[in-house]
Parts: sequence; structure tokens; C-alpha cells
Amino acid sequence: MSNFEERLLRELRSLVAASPVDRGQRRPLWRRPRLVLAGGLAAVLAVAASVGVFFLSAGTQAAYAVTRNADGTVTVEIDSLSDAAGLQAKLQAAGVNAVVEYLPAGKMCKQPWFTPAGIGAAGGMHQGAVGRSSDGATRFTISGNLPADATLVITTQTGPGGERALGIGWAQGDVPPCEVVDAPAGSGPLGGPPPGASTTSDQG
Amino acid sequence: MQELVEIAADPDAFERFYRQHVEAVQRFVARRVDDPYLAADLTADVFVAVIASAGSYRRSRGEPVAWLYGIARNVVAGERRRTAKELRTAAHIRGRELVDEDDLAALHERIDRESAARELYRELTRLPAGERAVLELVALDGLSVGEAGRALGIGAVAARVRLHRARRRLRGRLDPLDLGTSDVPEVTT
Repeated sequence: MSNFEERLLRELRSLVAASPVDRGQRRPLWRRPRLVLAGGLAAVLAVAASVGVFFLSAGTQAAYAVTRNADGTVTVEIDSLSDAAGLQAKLQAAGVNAVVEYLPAGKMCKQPWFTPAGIGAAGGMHQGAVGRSSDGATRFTISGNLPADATLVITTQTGPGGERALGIGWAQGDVPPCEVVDAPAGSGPLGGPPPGASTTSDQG
Repeated sequence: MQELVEIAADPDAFERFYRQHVEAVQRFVARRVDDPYLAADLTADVFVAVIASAGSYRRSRGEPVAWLYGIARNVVAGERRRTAKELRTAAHIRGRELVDEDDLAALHERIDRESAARELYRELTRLPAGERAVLELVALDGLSVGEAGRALGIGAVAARVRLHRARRRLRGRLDPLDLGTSDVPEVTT
């Protein structure tokens, strides 16, 4: 066999070895990375600029889904912090102005980065809480009636335990390019300390 | 017959299946795409989809190779691309990242050998999806009409009707390309 075929075989053997299935039954071949929710999620939700802060396992490949629903809403699912450009393009294709910036560990966008949408406006732009789905992904649904100048901002921070976190918020108007700077320990993904982010983790 | 469900649980069983079919899968892909890196990705995607689907294999769906080609066709045609991509992503397997320079030459050679088949494949896009699927598997991949039907989950009569219609639509447009004849040899496993 060629080098490619041998390498692919090794990868696939590992996949099979890692995920045995019962005879005759279909089983998921993998487990998605567990999210580690910031303990003060409710407090985070009250901050206009930050809809949620979610800690994800690092080192996974790109994985996201953007779905436009029949009622005009858009459901976003993220289960790893990679391919920011791809996610941003998907969101824009679905009619959502969006900026997605995944930063290296210990980095953040220089603050103030953008003008946060007002608390009331931001609260109306998503439906229900940002949360963790049963299969471990971060999922949220965006309203079908967004203000024309609303921009969804998705970015990252490094959590207090070295975890990478996902921050989701809303900006009013355009979002300038991110100027990457060193992040103080425990700082929020969208500026300021994340309420409750340094609390205990939930590894599910 | 190899119990296919084993290949999703037993690495050695999977390896036997893989060694038996990896060249056929790569030729299958090369009959459809001419980018060697995409071909590498799709080859990986097909086998990941095979592992994910092994538990669903039933003997009534025909020989394993027909079942395999059914999966491969869906992956390459994009019908299961999203699923395959999710699986591959979750499994951290990306075919193109496993390709070195020697592999690239071999991929190009295989792709060059299948240029006539790709021409036919492109012509088939004119056909309704159902007819196209049958003709693809028969004319490009050498399955019998019955095997093509089982690969697609349809009966032999329905497959034969679709094949007849497909040939009639394309007749005269593709000479001298082979549109698949009734004496296409059975594929053995």
C-alpha cells in the first residue's frame, strides 16, 4: 500500500479502537468535547456585551453548524474553537452580520473593541439561553428580526485554569478589526472580568 | 461473508476490509473528482462513513462491495458530505494531511487514468437524480443492475427501468463512451 493508504489505515484503526460498537447497533463514533460552563452563567447573561462564556476543550478540529430555521431564526452550534473564518462566512451567508475571532491562549482583542448593543436590544437578539446541548455543543438561536446595525461577535479567551473559552455578544454597528494584545489573567472575552468565570467547572 | 458490523468494533476486521477495498474506493473517487487532495479527503470520508454505517449493513442490501459503493456514491455526491465531514472532523482524520509527494504522484496517475470516466460522470449531471444514480454505478463502477439497485436501496426492476430511461436520454450524446450494457460483469468481493 502507498504511504497515504498506510497512514489512513492507522488513523482509521485508531478510530475503530477508540469507539467500539455493539453488534448490530449504530453508535456515535466519538464524544464531542465537553463544555465547561462558567459558574456564573446567569450573571454573564445580564451583561449586554456578553451573552455567554463557555469553556471548551482545546485542540479539536473545526466544528460548527449554522442552520436557518423555517421561522426565520438562525441556530448556531459550535463544538470546537477553530475555523473562525468558516463560521463567520456561514453566519453571513445565513443573513447574520458576524465577526468571529478565535485568539491564541493568553490573547484578547484590545478594549474597547466595539460598541456593545444595549442590554434590552441584546437580550432580544437571541432566543432563550445560550446553552449546552445534550451532545456537548454550545448552541443558541438568533432572532429573525435583528436590527440592521447589529453584529454578532464570537471570540475567545483563556480561562483561569488555562481552558479556552467562547464569548458570544452583540455589537451595535461595525466592529473594527481586532487588535490582539496580551490578556490579563482571568479577563473576559469581550472586555472586563467575566462575572463568575473563575468559579468551579462543570465537566458533565 | 465478512460480518461487516465487526469492522466498526474490531480494528483487525476493519483492516482486512480496508485492504480489500481501498484501491477500489480510490478508483471510485478518481472517476468523479480530479483534485488529488479532494480525492484523499473523500477516500478518508468514505471509510469513516463505512465505520459509522457498518452496523446498518444487511445482507439483503447485497454484497459488501455494493453497499460500499452506495456509501461512497452518497459521500462523493455530497448527499452525506456534511455527515461525513462531521464524522471526519470529530475523528481528526483529514485525508489530504496524510498525503506526501510520492502519494501525490500516485493520486495524479490514478486520476489521469480515469479521465474518460469523469467525462461521463459530468455528462450524467444532466439526468434526473434517480436515473443518474443507477447509471453511475453501472456504467462507471461496473456494478450489475441488481447490485446497483441494492446499493441504492431500490428493487431490481426499478433499477432496470431507471437505467433504461437514463440510457435513452443520453443515447447519441455520449458515443463512444460506454453507457453500460447488460453484459457488465458482476463485481466479486
